Amino acid sequence: MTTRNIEVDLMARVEGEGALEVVVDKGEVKDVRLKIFEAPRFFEAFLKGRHYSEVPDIVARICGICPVAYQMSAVHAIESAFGMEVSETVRKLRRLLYCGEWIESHSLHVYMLHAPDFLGLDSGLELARSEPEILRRGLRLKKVGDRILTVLGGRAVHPVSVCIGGFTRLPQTNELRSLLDELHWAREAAKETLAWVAGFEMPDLSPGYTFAALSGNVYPMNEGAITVSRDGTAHDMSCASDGFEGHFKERQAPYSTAMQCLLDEKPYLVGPMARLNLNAASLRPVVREALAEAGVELPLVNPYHAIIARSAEVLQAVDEAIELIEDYEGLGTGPGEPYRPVTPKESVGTAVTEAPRGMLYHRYALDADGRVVEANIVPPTSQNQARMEADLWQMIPSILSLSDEALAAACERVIRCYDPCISCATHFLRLKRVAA
Amino acid sequence: MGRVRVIGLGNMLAGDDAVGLIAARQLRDLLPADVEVQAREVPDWDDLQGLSGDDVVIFIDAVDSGAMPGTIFEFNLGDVIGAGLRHCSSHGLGLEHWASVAEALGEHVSHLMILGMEIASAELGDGVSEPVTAALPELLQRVEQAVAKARDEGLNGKGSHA
Repeated sequence: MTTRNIEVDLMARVEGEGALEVVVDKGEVKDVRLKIFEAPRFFEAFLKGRHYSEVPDIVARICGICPVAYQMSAVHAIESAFGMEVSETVRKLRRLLYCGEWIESHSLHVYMLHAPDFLGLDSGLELARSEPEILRRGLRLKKVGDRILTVLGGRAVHPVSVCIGGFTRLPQTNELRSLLDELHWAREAAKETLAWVAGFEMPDLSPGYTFAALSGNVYPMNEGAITVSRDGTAHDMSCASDGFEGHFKERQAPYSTAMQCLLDEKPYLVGPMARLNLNAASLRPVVREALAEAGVELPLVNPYHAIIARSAEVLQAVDEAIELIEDYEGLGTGPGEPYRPVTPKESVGTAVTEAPRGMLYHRYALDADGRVVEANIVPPTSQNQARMEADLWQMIPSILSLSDEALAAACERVIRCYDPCISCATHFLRLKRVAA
Repeated sequence: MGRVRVIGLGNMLAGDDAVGLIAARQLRDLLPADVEVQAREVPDWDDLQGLSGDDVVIFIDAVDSGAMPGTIFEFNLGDVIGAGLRHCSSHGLGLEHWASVAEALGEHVSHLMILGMEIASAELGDGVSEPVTAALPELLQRVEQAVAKARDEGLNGKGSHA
């Protein structure tokens, strides 16, 4: 046989929502097609005609893993459209909320999905069986993030307190203080995690990334300018958030309903590695020390090193969460106004914030009553999709001697580095065996 | 007697996938006050860890098995734990995944139960279908019965005071 077709379902037993097809003919890679269903496209249409106040609740339903990111990009874009600024208390609490999402999302991926690849294990379930205490550490870390979301957002999965102008309710000091003991444990656990993953043996792969992330005076979450570096160290292009669509162009992949986003017609990387490389100067001291102790030098240029970047960001988020909560205690006069009044107007607003998987762009056109006329959402996975394909094009020729099964597994490992945001808008049991 | 928790799963904007959420919201008025009822989008590790041997967790979820829409299924732990737990994305971790991990870590999940309803469509933007709407009262009744049994004697015939 001269032609090989390798097919990989990106989510086990869930066909059609994420798949990879590789075609090899006469020892040569002929095609690599990554197909990812993107829920945001539906939501763009669904948002039309909706009042601005409904938007944070609707976009949170796009994703059960990163609802805060969708809410943050939405509120910042709409506040920009209305010419609003939020209070400093709200700005800090939004960072704290984002810390919670980074901690839960990154911990889940590091422990349940990515670490098993470097340990010769098939899944997080095997890690549970072989190293139960290590997995328990990861799950407890995840829970620390969940608790931040619950205290600030009202619930862990789909926060309900985020609104345009602030929060519907601000937490009491003692509510936040109740998180501190566990956060102090988490800081040590995050250091242990970083040392653990930095010791993994990793394959060599250096695709020569163009990195893109927000960058500014603080490690980016809700703020910073879009910054691009083609060698991982030099910031060779910056533009304001308003300029996103001027630089990053979406195109329809002919074999998929998903859009691919390109920079100057070329793939680029968003996410933890891009953020870390472009924001080394704003890393917290504890993260710099932990990276140095683990022997990690920046920039990271190998996709498998994403697990190191995620682990570093868990430590970054835990350490910042502690400071934010201690500062909140330090206010002493109570939390102040939960949100500022909104005056809608006919306008257009955009925002980029840093979702766990990378830059998340929202643009809203609103009418004079504050109803959505048009929405555009560019999630990080559509930005990384062309990059994932490019990595596979580069890697596959070197492993063509592998069996189909082993080759598919190797492709999966590359894709897993990105933790692609495959739609989780629906989550039902798919069963082949039926119990009466 | 241990705690009894009912968790409805689904997405209100995704057709019949909303059935778990709708059921949970109605059950808040139907179940005893000491039964914790939650409605949310996805299952989580926290649902299954830290349980005592007497605690009972009942999930209500949509099911896609090829049966007639509106068909009600009852599963226990062994029914949902299976092979095929490899994922490229953390977005794919569902109930079967967390149940498998909880069991492997020795958590007390033997009193886990799932009441599921076969769905016609989970397309984003669709409403709840006629067969699912028609079968909802029976689903609520089945949950009430399961809760009563759990409070009385525990699931699987294992009395909480045994």
